[in-house]
Amino acid sequence: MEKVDLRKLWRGRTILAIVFLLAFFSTGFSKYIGGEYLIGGVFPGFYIIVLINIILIFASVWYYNANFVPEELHDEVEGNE
Amino acid sequence: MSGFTVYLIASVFLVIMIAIAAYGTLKQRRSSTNDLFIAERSIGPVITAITIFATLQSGFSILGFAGLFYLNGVGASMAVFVAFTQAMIIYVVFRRIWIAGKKYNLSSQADYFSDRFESPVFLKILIGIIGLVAIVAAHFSVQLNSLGIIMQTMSNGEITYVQGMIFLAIGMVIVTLIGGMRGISFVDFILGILMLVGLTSLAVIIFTNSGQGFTDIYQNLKTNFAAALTVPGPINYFTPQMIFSFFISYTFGAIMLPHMFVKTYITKSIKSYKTLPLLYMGATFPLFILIFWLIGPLAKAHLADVTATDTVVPLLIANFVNSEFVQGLLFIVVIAAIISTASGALLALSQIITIDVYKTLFKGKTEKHYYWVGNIGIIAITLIGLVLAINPPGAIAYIVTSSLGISATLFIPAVLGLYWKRLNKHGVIAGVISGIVVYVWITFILNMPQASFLGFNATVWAVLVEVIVLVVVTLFTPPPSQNTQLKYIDKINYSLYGVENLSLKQNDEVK
Repeated sequence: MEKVDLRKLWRGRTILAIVFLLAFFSTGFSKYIGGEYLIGGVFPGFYIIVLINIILIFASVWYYNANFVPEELHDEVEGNE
Repeated sequence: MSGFTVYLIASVFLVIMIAIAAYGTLKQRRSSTNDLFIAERSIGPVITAITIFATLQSGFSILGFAGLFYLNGVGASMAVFVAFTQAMIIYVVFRRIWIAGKKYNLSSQADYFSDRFESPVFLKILIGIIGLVAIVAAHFSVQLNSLGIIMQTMSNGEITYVQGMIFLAIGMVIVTLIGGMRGISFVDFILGILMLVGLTSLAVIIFTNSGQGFTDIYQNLKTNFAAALTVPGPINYFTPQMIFSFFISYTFGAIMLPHMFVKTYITKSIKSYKTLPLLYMGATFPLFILIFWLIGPLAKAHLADVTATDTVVPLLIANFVNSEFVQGLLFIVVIAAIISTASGALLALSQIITIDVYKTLFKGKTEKHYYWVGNIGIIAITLIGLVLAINPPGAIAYIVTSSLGISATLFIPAVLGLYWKRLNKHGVIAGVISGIVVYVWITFILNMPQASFLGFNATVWAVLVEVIVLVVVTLFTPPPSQNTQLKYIDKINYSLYGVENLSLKQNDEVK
């Protein structure tokens, strides 16, 4: 099995962690970034923030899987040592 | 619906579930504990993802989260972040535990703790008992509670809470006994899909029949319940501290419930872990959007002054769905969600009793003997769960949020055990016990099951104290053996990344 570039892997994980922290705190403190407004006078701004964050999170996991996780990472594991 | 119709629908549903469980298990079922509890590590990625989804998102998510929205408004939708972190934990941490499970033949949570921390009896039984209490308190009795609520509400009180609960519990035990892990995974797959389709249909039907559209609902909320459209909500529940506590409780606690943890082992290939997080989020996000954006607001706008908030979903079905046939189908969706979680929990409980406790204390019996002990355990635990569920202490979401603290104390040692070589049994035992003592002290002795000191809940304080004790005790006691360090860090790194480090070079046996 070829060696995996661990630095690249951790770069990807760092990006994921940053996206998540941004998403989590922007939602938690939504009150200060427009979460209290009702979009069109009806739909809670809070939900718009949550929706953007869901899309962002999903896309970042997808991107991480496609670009940072090498194919050869998944070795078959022998059992019963 | 009349009591007879509700019984009839529930019976037809149970017969179909039993048939699916039997079909799923028919070809390969053997009388072994490995097959009963982890399906001989043979389940594919899609079924594993949906079974994890169906295990975590249950009757509690549908009834409890809809009730949580009803009480506290939009803040409840912070649960989407929990789904993301759970998916990442499955990907990063559980992948390593899968490798350890396959290499060292582990099949339960306590197996992992006892082997990694070199304590084959004490830690195994301690983790087993913590797991047992955590499932019964946080998940199993709550599922039984949900079964009673739905049967009672759907029959307009003709079936009592206890009668409904006992009737469905019997069916659930039969599904579990016949299916084992293989059958249950199969059933979960069908039920998980049913859950998503059913809830979407429920929202569409209520919109159609109530004559009010999406805009009307939110305008109604804005006029009558403006506080429900922002955090911290009408009763100030979702403060920043409680959002953080909610996040920690559900992320650490739910993922470490033994019936969730055991799902780590069931998948047949490590390749599954590449698709698992996306599949899990792909199923969970739509469910949460349905509950928090549609079902919850519909309940809040249409149902006035519901005191038992966990009944809002069955009340919506009973009040806004005209056809009894469609009511029956939606009723099945809710029962499906509950039973998929409860049967997984039941199986894990039986595994703890059989493998972690009984087999540790009574060694040398035949595989068939343990297999039957597992089956008897399933029946015994159901009886205990029924007794506990007769008088539930509060709303489902509140019970779960506060009781997840028990399993949350297992998260830090489980993760650090895969990355920190120095972590030893003394640190883990001291850390876990001190975490649980803090949790019990705040929740039960000080009687603060929700917000406590500085606005955080007991779980946050328990985990904080646990980490401090765990690190300090570990640093002042001897490290684990070289062999254990090699097994759980170096060999797993090698399996994952092909990375060789100093200790691996010194030990050719690894290759």
